[in-house]
Amino acid sequence: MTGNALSLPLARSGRRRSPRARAIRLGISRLGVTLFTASMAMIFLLPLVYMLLTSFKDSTQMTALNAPLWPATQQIYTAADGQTYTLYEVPTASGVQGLALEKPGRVTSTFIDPKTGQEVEWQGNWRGLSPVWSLTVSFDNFSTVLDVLNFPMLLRNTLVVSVLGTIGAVSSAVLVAFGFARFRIPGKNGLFLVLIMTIMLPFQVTLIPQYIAFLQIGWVGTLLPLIVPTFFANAYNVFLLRQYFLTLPRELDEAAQMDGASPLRILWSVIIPQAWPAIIAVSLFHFFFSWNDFFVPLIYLSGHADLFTMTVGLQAFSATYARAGSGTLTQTAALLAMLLPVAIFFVAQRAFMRGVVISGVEK
Amino acid sequence: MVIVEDNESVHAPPPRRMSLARRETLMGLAFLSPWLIGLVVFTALPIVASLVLSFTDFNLLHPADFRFIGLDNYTRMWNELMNDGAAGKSLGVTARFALMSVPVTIVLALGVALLVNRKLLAGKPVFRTLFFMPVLIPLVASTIVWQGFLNGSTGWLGQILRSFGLPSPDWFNDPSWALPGLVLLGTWGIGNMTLIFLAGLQGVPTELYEAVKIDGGGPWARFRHVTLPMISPVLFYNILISIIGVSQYFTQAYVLDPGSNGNPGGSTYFYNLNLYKEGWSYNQMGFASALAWLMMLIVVVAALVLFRTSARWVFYAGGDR
Amino acid sequence: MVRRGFTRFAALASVAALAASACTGAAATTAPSTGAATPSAPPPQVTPATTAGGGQIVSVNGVNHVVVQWYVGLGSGTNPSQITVEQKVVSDFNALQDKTPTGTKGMPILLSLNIVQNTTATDILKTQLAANNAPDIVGPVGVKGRAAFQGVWADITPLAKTAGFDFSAYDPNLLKQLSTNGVLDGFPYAVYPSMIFFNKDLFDEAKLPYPPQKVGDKYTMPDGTKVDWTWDTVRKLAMLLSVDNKGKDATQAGFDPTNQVQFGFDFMWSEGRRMGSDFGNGGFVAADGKTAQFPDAWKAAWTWYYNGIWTDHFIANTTQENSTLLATGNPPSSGHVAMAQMFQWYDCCMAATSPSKTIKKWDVAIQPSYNGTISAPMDLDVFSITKASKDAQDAFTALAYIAGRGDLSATYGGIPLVGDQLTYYHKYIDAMLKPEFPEIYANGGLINWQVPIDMEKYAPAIHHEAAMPNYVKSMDDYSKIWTTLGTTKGLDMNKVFTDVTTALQTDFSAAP
Repeated sequence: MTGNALSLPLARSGRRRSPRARAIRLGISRLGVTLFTASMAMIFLLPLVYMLLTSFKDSTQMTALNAPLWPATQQIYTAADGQTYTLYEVPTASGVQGLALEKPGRVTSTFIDPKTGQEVEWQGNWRGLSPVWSLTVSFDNFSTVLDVLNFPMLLRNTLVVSVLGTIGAVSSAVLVAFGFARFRIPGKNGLFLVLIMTIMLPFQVTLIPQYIAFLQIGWVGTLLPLIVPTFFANAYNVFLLRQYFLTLPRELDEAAQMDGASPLRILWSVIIPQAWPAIIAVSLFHFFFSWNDFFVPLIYLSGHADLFTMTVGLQAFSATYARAGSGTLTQTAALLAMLLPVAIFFVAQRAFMRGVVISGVEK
Repeated sequence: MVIVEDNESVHAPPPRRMSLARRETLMGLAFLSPWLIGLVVFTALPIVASLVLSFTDFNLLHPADFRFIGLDNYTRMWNELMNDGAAGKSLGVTARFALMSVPVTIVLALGVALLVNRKLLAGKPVFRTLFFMPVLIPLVASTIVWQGFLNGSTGWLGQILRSFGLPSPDWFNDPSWALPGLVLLGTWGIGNMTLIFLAGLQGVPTELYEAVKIDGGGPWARFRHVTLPMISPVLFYNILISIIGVSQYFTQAYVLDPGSNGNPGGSTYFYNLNLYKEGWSYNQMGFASALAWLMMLIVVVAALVLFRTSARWVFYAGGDR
Repeated sequence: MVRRGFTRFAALASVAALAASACTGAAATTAPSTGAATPSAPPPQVTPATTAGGGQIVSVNGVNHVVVQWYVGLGSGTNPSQITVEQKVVSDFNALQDKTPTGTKGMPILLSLNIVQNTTATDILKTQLAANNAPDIVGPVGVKGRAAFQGVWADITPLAKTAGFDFSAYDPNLLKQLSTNGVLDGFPYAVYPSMIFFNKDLFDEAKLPYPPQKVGDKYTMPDGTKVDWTWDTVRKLAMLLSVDNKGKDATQAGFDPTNQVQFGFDFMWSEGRRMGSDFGNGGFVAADGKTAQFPDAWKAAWTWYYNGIWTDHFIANTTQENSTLLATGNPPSSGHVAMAQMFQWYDCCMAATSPSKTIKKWDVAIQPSYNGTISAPMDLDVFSITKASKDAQDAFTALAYIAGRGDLSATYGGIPLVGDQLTYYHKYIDAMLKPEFPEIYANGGLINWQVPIDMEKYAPAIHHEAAMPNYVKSMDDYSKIWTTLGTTKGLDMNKVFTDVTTALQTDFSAAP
């Protein structure tokens, strides 16, 4: 919106200016829009920044007083007898000094001067003193997570489920959505309502019958309950693709029909090329859905740690380590787990632009 | 086959039309078949089972001895709805949340989509990824992050607000701020919706914008008369899906309060949390199934109303048959 | 009729789904499970001979084994250090069985471990029970965890008899507390007495003497008066140990509770009935088993706790408790809490969450008294066998082995019910804590484990998690009110008590 406000008056008044002036104007608008978007993204992702910084922190920093926001560690003084003390910035008669707190007290505290090894009595509130922090990026959380979580195994299982599931979900949804969008079928609206209704029942009540059914055919404890159903068209995906197919003009497929193309042919060479953005969106949704799906894999894979998917492994990990280090480990594990999906998304979103080129509309 | 059809097409025009219609039906059904088979195999059983269960006193711990109890579950539900019992209260929480969350997320997602779709924006791929990224954080982890971020005493948001001299609510520990807190948390889930809007925006032909420009229309006119009608099918989809989503809102509230009691003070005791409690904690799966069917009914009605009104504001370029 | 219809649906769906599965390659079937948080070792060659829910027989390296499923997660047992020990116990048992099989079918028993995180353990177990796919052994599990599954557990007594196992060495009172309606439906495993943890460094900083470690010892206040170790003494002491960022304690004028950085006291993972039992024996259920009540001692306890948060500021409110300053809900490990009332099982977490970085020296003190008597609630854990188990006797064989492993109960922080408990502490608990807290054990120092052992005698006769009608619902409903104590300022405590009693009476009356 701000971008518009910035660019439009300029655009109108400057219709007859030189190309150079236009380029400058364009550059300014571009900068304005980009800066605005960047600041929005900053606000939006502030909790993510919190998460990122946390993952590089030592757990002791989380509970420490007067700790900085960035990852840092307190400087430690080791006395001659091997005891360790925390260094504080202590205001003294001779300016602020870095002294090691030996015996904290309410009224007076005893410090050790690290330069001389002598004890110094100090009057005042030690809690108001700031420890000497030094910027330390700690990779301990990452190494703990990588030690404990079997990432290659979790990744393999998750990829099996999400890749096969995405193939199944997208291919079946495209067919069914095409059926709903382009065919005259008696009672189609009723069927469509049934389709919508299937996503309305909460999973809590359908879970048990489903579990019993899968147990009877011996699929509990395998990845099959997570993969096979995807080949039978998920209602969300069908709905979305149908909505998108309906926005596509009919002229092209009618022309193809005149040329004697079969419906499958029309779907393949007319509809799909126009619907790339939606198909990619559906693929991404399903991929990330199965990447993040938690309760269903948990129920079906319980007791089979070698089949755990990323979220199930992560949940087990975070429930175990939530009590340790104020959640630093959980946040680190979550960060690591999202690296691959973020990369996939980054690559895949370019396809939106490709989709635009194919459908011949450039903005 | 081909010959017979040809014969028909030549010699008997009326039956030919019928057969064409029939062919179209069969062809259409063939395309629908993956879903139809899946419906019978994977979905019909649970759905019918849940309906049957809603007339029983089915108990997870003793699955073998359930009795058929007629409409008891439904009368109990009716009483709870009328007398502000757990079912009524939780329905209220869900409705309040829907009123806050659906508009906020729709507007935000559309705004972000418009923003990252702008021609002038540099680094579009990066921004798209950034705005989508939170979707990729498992809820278990993102809820922990938000709990830390929103904590009333050491959370960043409170510290930032206080540094500007502003009061900071105690989000998840204050009954009147817990739902707004969850709305904030929900903004992290706009990625999917944004992507759908983005896909919709990609389909808007540029010529239409040019036409408005020639007519002297400003950015608002372009948005109002071109963008909005052209993306109305996906807007419709997003609204309906977010209503369904809110009706099933569960995991965040479940993760937030380890006892799943909808704390603080029952302010986050969502309909589905109550349903889960009844079915899984209090072993009243029959009653929970009845609750599920009530919610389904409510959403079906909402969907039907939305479908009815959609004729007035949803524009399908391909025509809706 | 209905049931048959249901089964028919299931059968129909199964057939159709099987047909569908024919087109898909079956995913690899799997080995007996290991823990969640383990690097996967190459699993042994396992082929299931029968695939039905329970009573599974699998062939491992060509030898048929009876599978006994051990389900962990309803109570303790899901910390990384605990998982390591559990896995060791399982592999040791399986190795023994391969050498000398003792299964009832003449086959070796294959103990299979399923660790499910506490947050989801109840749901998964219920799903498995509903689908007749239940595990054989469940444990360790406390009174509350078991109450959520009433009617699911098998009577241990006949199994023990067949195995030649004798419970006569056990305290009959304890066995009674561990029974449901007179039936011993769990193997008596371990007790976890309460005690007061205290952070010595914070007492030193305030120049205050440590709390008493022997029943009858007095406490010397800063003004030199010797007072009884009562909850009121704890209140006064805890206020001196509650400090804001300016260094003022909670008794001083100008103390700023909004910038409090140290708290005098904490109830580790507080729970309303436990809080009540800290002050006196009692319960929400009257003697008739169906009337809701609020014992006077419990009222005093709740008021003490509430004032401790909002008036005297020596207990953190919920917001402060969940802040990073107090380790996001684990105040004692943060190093900013001087005293905490906790169960013996918190030992597990003292060793596992490495609070050693924030706490150097700590010890344990006795439970304070109220109206002249000490009431020290005690947690009790059992191992149960499900009624649905198809190899209950084999499950008992495995269970007896599991229960005999001292290193295992030590990781749970539990003390066995029989035998020399102090020796056990020194052998197992100290071994676990020593690497984490070298400063405590330096120069022959020890944690005073006689304290929790002494506290066992003061366990209230009515267990704080004892049965209530409509158990889980009742528990939820009073908890909803209890949690407002930590979040809401200015509550009328008398109204709180009436609300609790009313809510509970409704639930009790609705009990089937």
